[in-house]
Amino acid sequence: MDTTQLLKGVLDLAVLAVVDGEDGYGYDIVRRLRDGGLTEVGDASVYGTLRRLYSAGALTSYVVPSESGPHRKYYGITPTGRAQLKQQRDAWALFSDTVTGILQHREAVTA
Amino acid sequence: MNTTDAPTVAPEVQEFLTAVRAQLADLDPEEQREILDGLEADLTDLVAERGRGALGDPVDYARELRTAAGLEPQVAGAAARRPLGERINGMLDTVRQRWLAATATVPGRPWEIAVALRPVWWVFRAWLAVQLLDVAVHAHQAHISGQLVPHLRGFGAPVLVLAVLLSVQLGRGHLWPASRRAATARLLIAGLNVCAVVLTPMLVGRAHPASSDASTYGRAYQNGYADAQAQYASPKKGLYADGKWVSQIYPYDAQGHPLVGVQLFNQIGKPLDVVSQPECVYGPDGQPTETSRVYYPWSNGATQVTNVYPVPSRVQASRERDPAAFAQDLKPTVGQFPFLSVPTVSLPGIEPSKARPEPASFDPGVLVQPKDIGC
Repeated sequence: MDTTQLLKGVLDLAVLAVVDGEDGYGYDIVRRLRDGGLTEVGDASVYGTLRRLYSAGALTSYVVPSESGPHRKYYGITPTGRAQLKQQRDAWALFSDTVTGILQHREAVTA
Repeated sequence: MNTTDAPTVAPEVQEFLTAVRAQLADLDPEEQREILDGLEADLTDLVAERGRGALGDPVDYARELRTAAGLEPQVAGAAARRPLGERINGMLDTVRQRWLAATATVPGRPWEIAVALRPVWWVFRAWLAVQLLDVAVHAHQAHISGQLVPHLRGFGAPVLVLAVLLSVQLGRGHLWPASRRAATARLLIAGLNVCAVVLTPMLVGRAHPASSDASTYGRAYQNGYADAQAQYASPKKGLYADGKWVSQIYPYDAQGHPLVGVQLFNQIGKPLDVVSQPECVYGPDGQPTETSRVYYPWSNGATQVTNVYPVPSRVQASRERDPAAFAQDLKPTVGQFPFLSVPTVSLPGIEPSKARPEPASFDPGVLVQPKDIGC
């Protein structure tokens, strides 16, 4: 199954979740998602999502200059973002339970 | 090859960003800044961690970025609105990225060997340019001298040094910093490099074969070149005698009388086809005239048969065959046999053919020597 299609629906949630723990810059967030098991996540998808969440007020951003290279743009979560995260987390839990239930029921029938 | 602008950003990252930016050119500047800000650092990290091959295709990247950011997909035609130079730059960048990505996966990274050998090429192309200059200055000289330092009216050595310096600086991106190179400059340099690559074997081949440093390769190339030329000048189609083009055959029988409508075949039964092309007609002054001799091959009722001799012809203004030629006043004829008759021939025990047309049907005409094609 093409997990990139599944990912699209939950990327906002995943990004908010990894930023919630600790502020991070773009590539850092990509790395956290990959380390978390979302190995197929595309860099550009994450950066685009970060920009969109920022525009929607869910994230705040600040620039950290670097001595050795170009400046890094860090993202942190806002109260709006935290509320969105909670709401989406609940929605995901419900959705996930529902789908799991359907799958288990089907397994029980076929078994 | 760092640039003076931001010495810590790799050129491939800059190129990639330029290409991505080009794909976002239709967004307003605020949106563009918003979406691209910080990307330089992220891409630098990416390259540092996973190599330049991880950059991928900037067009796909930009599309993904837009989709994820919830921006409108680029409208068709937005690319067309960008200046030509930017589009060419974008294309060149894409080709370069794809090439780098493709070669990065080859074991042993052979492309990096080529990159490492670039200085050799820089020196060589400078030498080649000076050799060409040498040929241009000495107009009588049709080939490169092949000398390490061309004479160039005594200025060979300093000119060569200058050319090498220029070429190396150009190669290192110091004459045109890579980041600011205009599309025209990039195309120009690419074109000149291609020219140099193409010219090299040709010049080596044309180097004087008698000169002491003419290599075996050079001589072999020379021979091949000469063969190719010979083949070009005399295509294999058609009839040849002593290496000369034959456009007509005038048969005579054993009694020495002209024959018309003789079908000829070779030793394995293959028709001896003549390849007829319009021939130039020369005036009394020896100059080509406006008219041509056009041949009209015999027919078997269905198709043209080109192994029947002599081939009728006529002198006409057009170089094309006229389908109605035989219905016109000036019909094609087999006339102009070179000799009214030739001495009889015989062999004991061989019975020659006797049937022959009436001598009166021939027009001796002017004696024409068959000529090679061309005026």
